[in-house]
Amino acid sequence: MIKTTNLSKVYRTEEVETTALNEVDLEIKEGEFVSVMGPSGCGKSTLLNVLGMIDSPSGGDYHFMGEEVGRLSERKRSNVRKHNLGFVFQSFNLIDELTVYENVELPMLYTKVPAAERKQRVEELLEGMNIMHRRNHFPQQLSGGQQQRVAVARAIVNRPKLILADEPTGNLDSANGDEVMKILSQLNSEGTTILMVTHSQYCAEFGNRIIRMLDGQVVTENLVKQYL
Amino acid sequence: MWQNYFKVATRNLFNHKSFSFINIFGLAVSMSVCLLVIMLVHDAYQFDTFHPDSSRVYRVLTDAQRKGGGEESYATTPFPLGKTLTEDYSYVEAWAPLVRRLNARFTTGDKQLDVEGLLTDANFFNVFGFELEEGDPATALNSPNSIVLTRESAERFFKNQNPVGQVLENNTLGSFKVTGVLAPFPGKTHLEFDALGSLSSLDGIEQRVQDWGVLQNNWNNYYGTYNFVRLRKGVSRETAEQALAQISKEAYADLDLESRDAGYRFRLQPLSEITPGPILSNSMGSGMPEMLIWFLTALSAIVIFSACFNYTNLTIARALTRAKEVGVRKIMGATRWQLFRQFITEAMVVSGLALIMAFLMLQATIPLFSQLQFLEFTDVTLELDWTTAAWFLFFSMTVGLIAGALPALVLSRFQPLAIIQKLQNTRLFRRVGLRKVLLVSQFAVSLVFLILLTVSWKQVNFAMQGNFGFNANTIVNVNLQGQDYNRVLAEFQQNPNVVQTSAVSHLMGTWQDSKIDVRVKPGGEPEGVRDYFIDDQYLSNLGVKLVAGQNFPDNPAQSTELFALVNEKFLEHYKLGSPAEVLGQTIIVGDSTVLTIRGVVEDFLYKPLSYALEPLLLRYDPAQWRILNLRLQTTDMPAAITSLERSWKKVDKSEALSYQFYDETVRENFANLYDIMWIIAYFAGMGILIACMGLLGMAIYSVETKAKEISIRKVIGAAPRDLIRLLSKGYLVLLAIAAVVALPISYLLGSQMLESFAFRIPMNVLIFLPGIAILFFLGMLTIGSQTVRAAFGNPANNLRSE
Repeated sequence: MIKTTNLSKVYRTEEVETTALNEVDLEIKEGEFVSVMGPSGCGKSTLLNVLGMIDSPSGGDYHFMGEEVGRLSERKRSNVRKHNLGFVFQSFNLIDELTVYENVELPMLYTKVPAAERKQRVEELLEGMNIMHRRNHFPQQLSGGQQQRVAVARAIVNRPKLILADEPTGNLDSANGDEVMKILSQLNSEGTTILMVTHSQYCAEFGNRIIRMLDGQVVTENLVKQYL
Repeated sequence: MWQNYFKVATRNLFNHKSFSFINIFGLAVSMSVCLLVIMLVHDAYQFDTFHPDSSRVYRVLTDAQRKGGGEESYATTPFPLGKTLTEDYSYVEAWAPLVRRLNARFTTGDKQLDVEGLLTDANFFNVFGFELEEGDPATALNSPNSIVLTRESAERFFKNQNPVGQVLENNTLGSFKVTGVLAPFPGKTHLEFDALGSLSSLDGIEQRVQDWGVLQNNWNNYYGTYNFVRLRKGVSRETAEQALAQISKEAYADLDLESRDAGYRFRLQPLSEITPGPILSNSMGSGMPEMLIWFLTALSAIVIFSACFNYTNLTIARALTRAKEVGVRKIMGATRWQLFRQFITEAMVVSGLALIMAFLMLQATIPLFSQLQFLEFTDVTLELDWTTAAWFLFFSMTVGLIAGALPALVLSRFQPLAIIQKLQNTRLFRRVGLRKVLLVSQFAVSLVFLILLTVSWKQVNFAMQGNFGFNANTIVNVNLQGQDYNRVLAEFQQNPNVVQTSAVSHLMGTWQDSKIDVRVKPGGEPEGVRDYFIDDQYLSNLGVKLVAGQNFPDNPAQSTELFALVNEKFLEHYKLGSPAEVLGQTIIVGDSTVLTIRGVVEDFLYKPLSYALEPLLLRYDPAQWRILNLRLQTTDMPAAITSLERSWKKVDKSEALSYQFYDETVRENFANLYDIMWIIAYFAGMGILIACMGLLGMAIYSVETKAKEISIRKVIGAAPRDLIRLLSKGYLVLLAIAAVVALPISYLLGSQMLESFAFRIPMNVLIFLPGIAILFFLGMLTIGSQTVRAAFGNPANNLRSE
C-alpha cells in the first residue's frame, strides 16, 4: 500500500536547516498495523504527515497504492486524502462548534455521501463506539475518552483504507487508552491498515510491526512478538 | 453542506457574544444609514418612468455663453428651435413644446384660484405618458383658449360638478374653456402644472400682454419654452445635436444676441437624466439634484466601509481561534474554495442579522429624517416597496461579501499542517500595520465629521444672529395673491393692530432674487444689479436709512417709472463719487428705461449671509408690488392674526390670508444649512460609534491575547496604573495620529464649506478643540473599559488556565 524510497523532509529557516526525514525507505502492506516509535524530534510525526499527504516531501519517492503521490498538487492530494485516509490525533481535534453527530458526519459532506446514508453510517458508528447517547453533545461536554472515540468514528466514517494515528492515547488515561487501542485493533482485524505513532511500548504492541526512528531515519524494524 | 456552514456560523456567533455584538451592531448602525440612502436614491430615480419610449425622449437645453467668459445652462430653449428641428429635419418623431405663459389667477363663479399652467398641444399626450379621464387627447388642446385641468385642480374649482365645458376667466389672459381632465399621474414627474392650455392660445395671449413679447418666432427668448422631442428609432442623440448646431448657426447668423451673451449651444438631455440631474437655470419641478445623491452616497459609503473594516479587522485578528477547524476540515478533504465559501457564508449571516437590526433602526430614523426640509423640496418620499426591499437584500449580501472576503481568504489559506504541528502561536496574518492604518483612518474620518459639524453649527448660529440691517421683527408679510393693492391696503390700514404698512415686489433677506441689466451711462457695458420694487413707506417701515437725497414720492397712480434709489455700494462699484454728487444722475435700466437717482440708502444686508454685499437698485412701480409688509403692535399675536384674516376676508372670500412672520421667513433660509448640519451630525455620530466599536473589539482582543503577560507583570509587581498605561499607550498614539491626519483635511473642507458664505465665522483653534476632545474622551473610555478590567483582574485565573 505504501512504499517510500529515499523519502526525506528538510525544514529550512533563515539560519537553520533541520532534516526531519533522512532518506527513509519504508513499505507498508495492506492490512498491516504498524507502530512508529522513537524519541521526541526523531521525525515520527513528520513521517506521519508526509505519508498522510498533509505535508510534502523534500525528496525521494512516495507511492500510495501504486501511485506516486509525493509531488501531487494540494488539490489532488486533498482528493486522495479524503477518499482513502482517516486521521486520529492526540488532541482529538474535534470541531467545537459541531455536535458529536455533526463531527462524525463532516468527512462525508466533503465526499458527497447522500444524506440518508450519512445518517445510517453515523448512527451505526456511534452505536458501535457506545456514544450514541451523546450524539447531540458538543465536544467540550465529553470526557477525553469519549472525545477520542468520536475522533476515531470520524476517522473511519468514510471507510478509509489507511488510518493514521498520531499518539491517539497520549491525552487519555489508561482505561480510555486501552479502549481506543482495542477499537483500532478491531478495525485492523476487519482489514483497515493502520499507521500509528506512539511513545508507549504497550500501545505499540497492539500493532504487528514496530518501526523505531532516530534522527529522521528508520533504525530498526521488528515484528511484534506474537507475529514472530 | 450549506446547512453545516450555517450551523457553524450561528454557533460561532453565539459562542463569542461580545465580538458578534460588535460586528452585528456596528454593521447594523451603518447599514441603517445606507438603507435610508438607498430609499432616497431609489425614490429619486422614480421620476418620469411612465412615459412611452422614454429612452428616445429628450429635453433641449441651452448653454448660453457669456461675453465675459463662462456659460450658464438653461432647461429652456427658444420656441422656434423645436419647430425647426421637427420640420426641417427627419429626426424627430414628435415634438412637444411647453410654454410657461399660463401662470395666473383664474376665476369661475365666486372661486378665484392661482393656476400654474403650461401651453402645449396634442403632441403632449404623444410624447408623455399622461392620460385624460375626460376629453379627447387628440382634440382637447386644439382650439385657442382651451384648457385641460389636472384632476386636483378640477376638484378645487368645480368640486363634484362636471368641469368639461365650464369656463375659467382671467382678466389678462382671457377666458379658457375646460376641454378635458387629466387622470391622476401614473407616477412622479418633474413636470409641474395644474393645467395645460392650448398652444394656439399663445397668439392671443401675446396680443393681450404685449410686455411679454412674442415667443413663437423669437430666437432671442430662450427662457420661455421647454422643447421636448422624441427622436425616431435609430436616430442617435449625436446626430440630432449636430442638427441643432446647424440650426443655431443659421438662425443666429444675422441676429443681435441679448446684450450679455456671446453665443448659444443647444444640446439634448435624456428625459431619464432630468431628475435626478444637473442643476439648471429655469428648471421645472423638484427632484433631488445629482450632486446631493453623490454627496449622500459618498457619506454612506464611508460609514459602511468603516463598519465592514471592523468586521474584517476583528475576524482576521481572531483568525487563529478558527485555525484548528480549518485544519481539520482540510484534512477531511475540504478544498480552499469550500472553506472560502464557508467563511463568506458566515459574513453573510452576520450581514443578514445586521440587516434585520438595521431595518428596525431605520423605522426609528425615518421619522427623524422626514423632518428635514430638503425632502419636501425634492419631492422625495421614504416608502418601502418590493424593489427597495430587494435592493436592501442585495446591499446586505454585498456588504457580507466585502466584509468577509479578506478574512475568508486568510482563513481558507491556513495549512492543515498548522494544527498538526501546533503552530497556533504563529502570527498567520502579519499585516498588523494595515490594521493600524485602517483604525487611524476610521478615527480621522470621524474627527473630520465632528469638526465639520462644529463648523456648520457655529456658522448657523452666526447666521441666525446676523444683523440684516433691516428690522424684520413684528412684521407680517401678506401675499397680495393677485388682489388689488389699494383695496387690500385700505382694509389693513383700518386694522388697529397694524401700525405701519409698506409694499415690495419680493422679500429681502431670502433667496428670492431678481436682477436687471444696468448701465450708468449710454453705451456702457450692462451689468446685472439686484432690484426690488418698493413703495414710499418701505424704508421707514423696515428701518433703512437714507444717507442722501429723498425717498420715492407717494404716487400709486404712476404710469411711467421715473426714479431710483441705490445703496452706497452701488456708488462705489460704478465709481460715481459721493452720495451727494450722484443725486440727479440718470441710469439706464433694462433695455431703455431711464431712471433718475433720487436718493442713496446706507449699505445694509439685504440677502442671506451667503451673498456678498452688492450694489442694490430700489425702484418704484406699483404694478410690481406683490407683498405687503404689515408692522404689528400687539401683545396678543394670535388675536392680531385673526383680525388680519377678518380684514383679508373682506377683500377675498375664496382664498385664505397668505401670511408669514418676516423673522421666521428669514430664519427658514437656513433650513438647508440646518439640514446639512443634521446630516453631518448624523454621520459624525455613526462614524464615531463605529470607530469606537472597532476600537473596543481590538481592545478586547488585545487584552485577551495579553492576559498571560498582564498576569505575569502583575505577579512580579506591576501596579494597575502601569498596566493601564502599558495597554493604552499604543491606542493613544493611534488616536493622536488620527487627529494629526484629520486636522488639515477638516481645515480644508471646513474652509471650503464656509466659502459659500460671504459673511462667515473664522476657522480658528476653537473649532477644532471640541472634536478632538470628544474623540479622545470616547477613545479613552472605550480602551479604558477593557484595560481597567484587565489591570484589576486576578492574575491567578490566567496563569492557572495557561
